[in-house]
Formats: sequence, C-alpha cells, structure tokens
Amino acid sequence: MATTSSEITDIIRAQIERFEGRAEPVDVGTVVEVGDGIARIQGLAGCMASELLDFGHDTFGLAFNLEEDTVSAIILGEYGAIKEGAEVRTTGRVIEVPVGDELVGRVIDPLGRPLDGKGAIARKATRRVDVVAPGVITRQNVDTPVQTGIKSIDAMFPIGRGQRELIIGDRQTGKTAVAIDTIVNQKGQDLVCIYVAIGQKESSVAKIVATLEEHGAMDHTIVVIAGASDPATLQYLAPFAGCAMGEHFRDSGRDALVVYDDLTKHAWAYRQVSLLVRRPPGREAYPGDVFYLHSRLLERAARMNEDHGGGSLTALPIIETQANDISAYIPTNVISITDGQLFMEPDLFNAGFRPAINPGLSVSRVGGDAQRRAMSRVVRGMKLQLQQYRELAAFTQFGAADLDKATLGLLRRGERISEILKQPQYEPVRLDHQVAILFAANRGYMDDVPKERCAEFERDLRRFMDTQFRELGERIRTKADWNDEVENGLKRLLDEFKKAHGHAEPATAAAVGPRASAASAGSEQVR
Amino acid sequence: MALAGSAARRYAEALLEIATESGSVNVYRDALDRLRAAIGPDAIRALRDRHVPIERRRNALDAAATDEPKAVRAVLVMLLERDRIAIMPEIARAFGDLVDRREGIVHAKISTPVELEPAQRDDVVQRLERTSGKRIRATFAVDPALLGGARIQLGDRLIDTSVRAQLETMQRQLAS
Repeated sequence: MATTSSEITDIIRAQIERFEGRAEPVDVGTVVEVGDGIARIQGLAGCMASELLDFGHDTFGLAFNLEEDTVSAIILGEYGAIKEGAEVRTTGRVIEVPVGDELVGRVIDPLGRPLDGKGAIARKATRRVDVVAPGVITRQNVDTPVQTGIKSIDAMFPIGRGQRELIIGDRQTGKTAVAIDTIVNQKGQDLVCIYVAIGQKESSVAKIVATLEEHGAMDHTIVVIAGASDPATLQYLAPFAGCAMGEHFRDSGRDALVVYDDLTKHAWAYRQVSLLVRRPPGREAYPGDVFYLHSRLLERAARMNEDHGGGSLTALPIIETQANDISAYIPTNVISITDGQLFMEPDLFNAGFRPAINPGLSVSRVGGDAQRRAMSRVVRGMKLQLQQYRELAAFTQFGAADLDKATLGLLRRGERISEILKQPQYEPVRLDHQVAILFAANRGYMDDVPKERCAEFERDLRRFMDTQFRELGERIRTKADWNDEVENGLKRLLDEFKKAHGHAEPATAAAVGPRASAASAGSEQVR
Repeated sequence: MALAGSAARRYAEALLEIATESGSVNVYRDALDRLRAAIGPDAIRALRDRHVPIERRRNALDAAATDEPKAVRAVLVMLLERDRIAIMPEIARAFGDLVDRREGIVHAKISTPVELEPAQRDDVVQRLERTSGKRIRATFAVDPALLGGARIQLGDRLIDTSVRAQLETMQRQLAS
C-alpha cells in the first residue's frame, strides 16, 4: 500500500488542526408534509429559490416553490428517512454536480454518484446545474461539422458543433440508434459525448452501455441515468446535470456532444413535480413554463468564439411522438427551439430504409456552413433528386410501362441513392468513404449497378479506395477544401474501380452507361 | 416564527386593525388567548355538530364569550356560521405573532447542555438583543446531547455553536 495508517493519521490530524468550529447562522424550518418526493416545509423565511436544503442523514432537497408560509422542496434521492416535524436547514448553496475528465467512461446518476461499480469518482471540480446560457457576445457561428458517420445525415442534414438537432419520431423508429451511432463514430476523436437517459428502462440503458463498451465508445462517453424507477425529481434534474458536465468541456475550449434521451419523458417528470407542488396546470396539464424548461436547457448548447476558448456543446435532444403526431404540444415546442430536426418515420423503417429519416420533413437549419466542402459539393442536388424520386416512385408504383427515358433515368438514379443511404446500425462510415460513395451514386456511376448489389458495390469501393487510393482518402479527410484535383481523383477512382470490379448488370450496362451520365454530370448539375 | 394558515391570518389581520383603532391590542390579545385555551378539540367538535340547531350553538358560544370585546364575539359568530370555527386557535396564534412582529419581538429558543443561572440567562438574552436589534422573548431548554456550547434558534435563524454540531461538521469534512 502507498499510504500507511500513520500517514492517514497525519492527514486526519492536520485536518483537525485546521478545523475551525465556526457557526454560520442558517435558516431552519420544519417538515409539515412529505410524500412523492416532495416536502412541504414551514419556516425557512430566508430561503432562496433553487437553494439546496439539508434534511439531515445526507439527504438533500431543492427549494422549488417559495410560498407565503411554506417552502416546497423536491427531494433528491430517497426520502424514506424524512419524517414530519424533522428539521430542515438552508445551505446557502445552489445545486452542483461534479464535472471533468474523471467522469468520462463512467455511468453516473444525475448527482454524479457512480452507478457502474467502478469505484468512487474524485470530485475535482463542480458546476452549477442550472445556469444561464452564454450570451451573444461570447458566441460564434457554427462552422465545424460533427461527423455522425451516418451517410444520410452527413450528406443531407449536416450537424454542426454547437448546433441543436432534434431527433423526433415514434417509438421503435431508430431514434436512439442515430444518437448511439453518432457517439460510436467519435471514437478516437476529440468530441466528448454525454448520453443522458431520462425515464428509460434500466435494462435498455444497460444494453446501450454494453453496446458502447463493445464498440470502444465508453472511452469518450459519460452516461447519466435517471431511470424509470428513479424519482421524477431526479429525472427532472438529469438533462441539466448532463448539460453542466458538457459545459465544462465547452468552457475549457473543447468540444462536447450531449444526447437527451428523451425530452418527452423529461416533460412528464417536470409535469409530475409541478403538479405535486401545486403549480397551476396548463395545456395537457403541463405547467406554463414547460417551454422555458426546454429552451433554457437547449440554449446552453453553443459554439464559443476564440476569445472564450472556442469550445462547443452540441445537443441532440430526442422526442418521442405518438402516432407520428409532430404537432402535439411538446414536439412543436422543441421543434421551434432547435436548429432543425431529423424526423424518423415508421413507414420508412418498416420498408427497410434504415436509418428511417424522412428527407421531406427533416431539416438542418445550420446547413452547409457546418459541412465539409468536399461533402457539400458532392451531395449538391441530391436531396431534390431523392424527393423527386419518392414522388415518382409512388406515382409509377402500379405499372411503369410507358415512361420516357428521363423519368426512367430519374427513377433509376433515385433508387440507387436511396439504396446507398441505407446503413446498418453501429457501422459508421468515414468521411472519405462517404464522399466517394455519394459521388458515385449522385453522378450516375452506379446507375448500371442492380439495386441488390448496391451494398456490395459500396463495400468493395471502400476496400478498393483503402488499398489503391489511400492518398485521395487522406486528402479528403484532412483538407477541408474541394478542387479539380479531388474531383478528378474521385473520377479516376471510380473509373478504375469499375474496370476492376463487375457490379453492373450486363443488359442495361450499355443502355445507361456510367460514362454517359458522368459526362453530363461533369458540369456539376446532375440532372 | 412562520405564521399559521393564510385564512387564519386574514382574520387576525382584520382583528388587529380594529384593535389598533380602538387602542386595545392587548385586551384583544388576552381575549383571544383565553378563547384559544377554552376552545379545545372537544368544544370545536360540539360547535360543528350539525344535529344541533345553529341558534343553540350560537347562544352557547355567545354565553361563553360574553365578557370578550364585541369584535371578537362577532368573529366567533362569523366563524360558526361559515363552519370555520376550527381555525379559531390558529387565529389567536396568528394574532399574537402579528403583534409580536409589529413590536419587534422575536422568539428565541435557547438550548444548553446544562441549566443556566438566571444571571447567565439575562446575559445571553441581552447579547442576542444587542446583535439582532430586536426584543427577545426567550425560552430555555436543557439538552445534554449538545455536549457543550449553546444552540440558539432565533425565529427562523439557527445559530448552532454546540460541540455536537461542531463534531458533526468535522465528521462531514473528514468523510468528504
């Protein structure tokens, strides 16, 4: 052992010698009512809003409502030991959580207590849970992408560092999968991820943690859990705690990503707590400030300017809708707060388009600014093509006998693009691979590849690129710009790849040759 | 000390205004205190018994409070008719609190591990009055578990200089 018992004695002795028994006057009150995680306290005349209250026995509460005669406090954690008539003291502090690199790789509760059995966490620094978001002066435009590794997102709905992109959809549409894939894709990079699970089954969270561990993603991730069995008070606090942990990285000039999974349950927890402290109910019985609850949380996601460290906090809130109803109360609230949304659709999901992102309803309001130059050039016009294809496909579903050549070409192209936007879970794609495969699909290099062989084409292309065109991939990954050199490189890559591998179906290869399309696409506009 | 329920306080405030106008605050206070002592839970149950006609209950209450000021008797009848006689003790307490607050009197509960001498008690009260700038109405208690020092609760403020509290603080600091 490094520390002997005599050393411990010395430490304790020093602490005792330094001890000053100073008695600060504190406010006291008496519990008059306790239940459902709420305590009503008489007295505490000098109590501040959101002040931390000491109930004794290491139980703390948060002053939530200051009324004429009483204070309503939400109790953090177990409240079994609190009895009517018990003494409550003010602490003069506002609630804080531990922050810092010690938390990375850990699974904790909203108060920073470890849940993963990996031992105590050294509390080096703490931050206030509920703070005001950074103002305009300290911010900067969002201009650096978060690479999610998901082709359809990186291509059509780029997410920037400091952005707030909502993931919305029914249950079982792959919302969490998008967030987890994004976290997995940050492996070995500079983005610290925080996954906040609110009101979820502990078994689902355990599965997510196991998945993250399996893919080596826990090395850069903090998981904050307020499960379904935890009191609503902790569920209410969880996203704020996760946000505070992210802010630590943001304010120290680093980049962080926080996933709130999901804010629907957070709104439920807040509704429960609010009703228990008798705040007046509003629409759908949510309290009047449920919008402010989410706006002040999401506003803390920011990209700081150079004078303020240049760090960023990106937020990926998740909202679960009921029967695709995005015009319900909480979904519209959060849609209006965020800088865009990824709308996950069950129909697409069931049709096998996964991730099931609806390209029509999804948007990223930060857009091209947060996209790498190479990517934005390659995918130009793709979203439009895809939409036209979807429309046509629905139209021609019942027999496509006499369609003109242009329509057929559009259908063929759209089909290929949809096909390569499908992506299995936990298989993020590197930027250079994304650029190459999207270039191939968008410029018509894949028009002669049968639909069933698109996945194979992509796999082989990636392998081919890694072996034969290493420098090109390196160039795309490391340099942000786009020029003829890159474009010609990509063209050469695809020409050589197609020569080496035969993915084309023999009959149509001649009819809609890649060269013909490529030539027409050479002038950038694809149609 | 925090005041009782808000309904009781409204009655108490109204009574205090009337009492101030007639300059007989202390008379009212004594009357209310007497009534609080007289109207116990049994009396309240009897007064709220709907099987007894309201006139009989009113007469009984009137007879009991015949010596009290007119306003106090009016309040009693009002409470009886509105079936709120149960808050009577709270009104009396709220009235006392309001008067104390207006006159700058604070209740202090002083606990010590050993019984204090009368001179020591006066000294403590005087010091408290000097530091708080208020008049102190003190109650003294003995609590051997404090081990040493004193624990003074002044209204809602607690000043705990007892040895027990200091040991607890030390325990927390060593544990963290």
